[in-house]
Amino acid sequence: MPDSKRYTVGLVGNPNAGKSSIFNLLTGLRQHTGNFPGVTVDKKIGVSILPNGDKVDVLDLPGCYSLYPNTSDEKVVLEVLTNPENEDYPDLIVFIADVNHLERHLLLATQLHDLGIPLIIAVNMIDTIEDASNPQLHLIAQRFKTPVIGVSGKTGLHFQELKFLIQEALFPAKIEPEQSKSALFYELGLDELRLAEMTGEVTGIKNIYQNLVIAHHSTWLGHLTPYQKAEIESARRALGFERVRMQIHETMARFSQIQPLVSKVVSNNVPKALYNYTDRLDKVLTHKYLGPVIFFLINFLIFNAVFSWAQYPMEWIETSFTDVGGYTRYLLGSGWISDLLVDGILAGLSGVLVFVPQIFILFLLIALLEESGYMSRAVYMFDNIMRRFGLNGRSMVALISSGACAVPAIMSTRTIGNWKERIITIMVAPLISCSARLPVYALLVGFVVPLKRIWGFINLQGMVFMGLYLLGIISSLLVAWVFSRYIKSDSRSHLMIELPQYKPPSAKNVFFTVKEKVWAFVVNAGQIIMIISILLWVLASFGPSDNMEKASERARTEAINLSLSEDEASNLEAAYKLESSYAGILGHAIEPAIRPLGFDWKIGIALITSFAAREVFVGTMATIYSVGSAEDDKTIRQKMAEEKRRGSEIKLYSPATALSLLVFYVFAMQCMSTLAVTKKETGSWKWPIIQLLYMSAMAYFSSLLIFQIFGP
Amino acid sequence: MTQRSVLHLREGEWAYIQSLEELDLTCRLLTLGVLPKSKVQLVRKAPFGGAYYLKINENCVAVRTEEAKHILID
Repeated sequence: MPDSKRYTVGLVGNPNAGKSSIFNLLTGLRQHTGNFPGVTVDKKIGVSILPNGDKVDVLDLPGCYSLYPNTSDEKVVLEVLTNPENEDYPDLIVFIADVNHLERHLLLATQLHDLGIPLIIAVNMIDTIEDASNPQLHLIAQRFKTPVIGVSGKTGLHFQELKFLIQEALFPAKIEPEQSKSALFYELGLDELRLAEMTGEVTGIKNIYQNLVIAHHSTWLGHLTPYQKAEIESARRALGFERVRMQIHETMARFSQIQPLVSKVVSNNVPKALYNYTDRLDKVLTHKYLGPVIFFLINFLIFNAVFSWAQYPMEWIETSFTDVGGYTRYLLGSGWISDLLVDGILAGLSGVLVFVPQIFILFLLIALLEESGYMSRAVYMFDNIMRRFGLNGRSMVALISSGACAVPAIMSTRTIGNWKERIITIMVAPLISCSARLPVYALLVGFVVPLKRIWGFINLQGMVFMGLYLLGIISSLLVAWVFSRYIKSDSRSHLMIELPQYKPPSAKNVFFTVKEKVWAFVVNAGQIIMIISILLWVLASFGPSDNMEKASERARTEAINLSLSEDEASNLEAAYKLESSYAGILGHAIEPAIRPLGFDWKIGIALITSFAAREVFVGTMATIYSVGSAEDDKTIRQKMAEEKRRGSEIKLYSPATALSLLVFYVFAMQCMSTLAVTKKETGSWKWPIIQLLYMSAMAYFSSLLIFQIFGP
Repeated sequence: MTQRSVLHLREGEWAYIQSLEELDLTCRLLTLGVLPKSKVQLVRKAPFGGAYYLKINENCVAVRTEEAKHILID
């Protein structure tokens, strides 16, 4: 069978039902992540090989509680399941339920049953009840007229059997006469029936419940044409159909069917100590005083880990790229091709990859917390504080991630259901000091305060560092508050979240999550950083007419006059060339604008070159002050310290200038990757442009303020 | 006598849910397992207020004050 005609098996289930474990077991390494068309919801798809050797596509649909969705993730499930024309419309649904929450989870199963799509029910976490063979699962099978099997995503119990069931459902050994269908779980009322029929006339869909669900959601379903929408809308109005009331009525009716069934199925099952264990942990972890303290302690540990563990691989990546660059130059000789390769392409690549260790570690630790169930506790504890600033408890998680890199942080806002709260989180996330600002802070902090301890234990520079981080955090909350006054909300904000039982994270799930995030960063941010890196290389390597040749000549003459060594001479040449290049000219051009901030044209060049990524600042400073490599922090600092304000004896890098520059870097939106991700996640250029403008304005005016107060 | 909601419970206290007010919230609460006639316990309040840790049957959920006040109890 050709690939395009392969059967699709859709995995559906409530959040926390253990869907990803099952998906990973079914597909293993044969999986990838894409996007559902038109929305930024991850689409996880993989291939599973059935016992008979046939391959099927497995689609992991986002977790949802019912066919009445609240978040964009849940809406995707509706888009797919109500549209038989959709390329992802499953031939078979495997529904994953948690045996400990059968009553609540089976609600969605009854809805899927009524949709008329072939169904298998896999009752997950069967290993968590005392006697795994005990639950009367056949009672569910009888009522649903569908195969039911107890499995465990954790231990892999009954996995082969599940695959057999999938195989039997898709490739029946003998063609059976039309299977006797079981009765619908929900008997539609007269009005509902009429509405479903009228909808069916417009959509051409046969299943009565599918039509009812479409009628409920006709205003936003993407696969309906404007004509269909208008027709359904007028049918709804003609019947005086009360959407919400009918939803509640339906849900209650379904529960009244499930409750007696479930009580028979699990009457004798004593859950293992799981609950007890969650209760006891939560007594401490969500405690009034201890809870927040533990939360901040955990975050402190995460940050420590991100910075200290990542240091070695980062150094290794940088040295490797320097080595490869040196070798390339050696192979190709000098000339613009090798310059482009080394200073443009390789530099850009290294700029992307150097962040991978930090992002990897951060997401590893966050995935562990997420998988264990701790994150929803953080949402619960901090919801009230975050709400005062127009944010949501979930924003907390994004803002923490932002401390490593705003790119993955912005991607993680997809779980925020309320559009307004999500946009605000995206807008302020880049204000949190990310790891790319660190090298800049490290280079400049020495000009603000000396490396000294007060009272024997407080490190002054450490204090300034902390101050810069705090400045980022406080300003992000304030800006969020300002945004919340101006952005209109499209829906009511609510908390109402499940606090799942704690469970040990599954290594497999964590591995796939981390892999996915790191890859998303490399691809999304990588493309943009590469392009800008090449563009900046052009700006810094070429100048109008014969500017560059003149600069080289001037440097050579000067080198001979001062009898410099060969290395010193070439460093001097690089510095002069940069000054004469387009970047240098731009730096001079913006000097009048940045002089009130205490900056000169050299800093101007660095501001321009670090527009793509902040950490480029250090490298540019190295070139301007003709220091061979950016590694040589000490020498750059020395040269900067000697620098005088033009036409005077006053030092350029006074504490005021340095502080002004530091504050500039706290606020400025100098990260093309973040802007690109904001564009992608919000779906319009409006938001990245607002982000760029407000952050640049904040940077400019705060630096201006600082320099005017503390400057000469 | 005014109708009591879960907001009237003390930490650790439990009661039976009588009904849910407010149509918009009801749907979501139902799907989270907050069902009429179920036993609800107020486990604890959030550290900075504004949110409640509830346990209904064996489901644990967190709700805001505005949401909790619509969960009426006997």
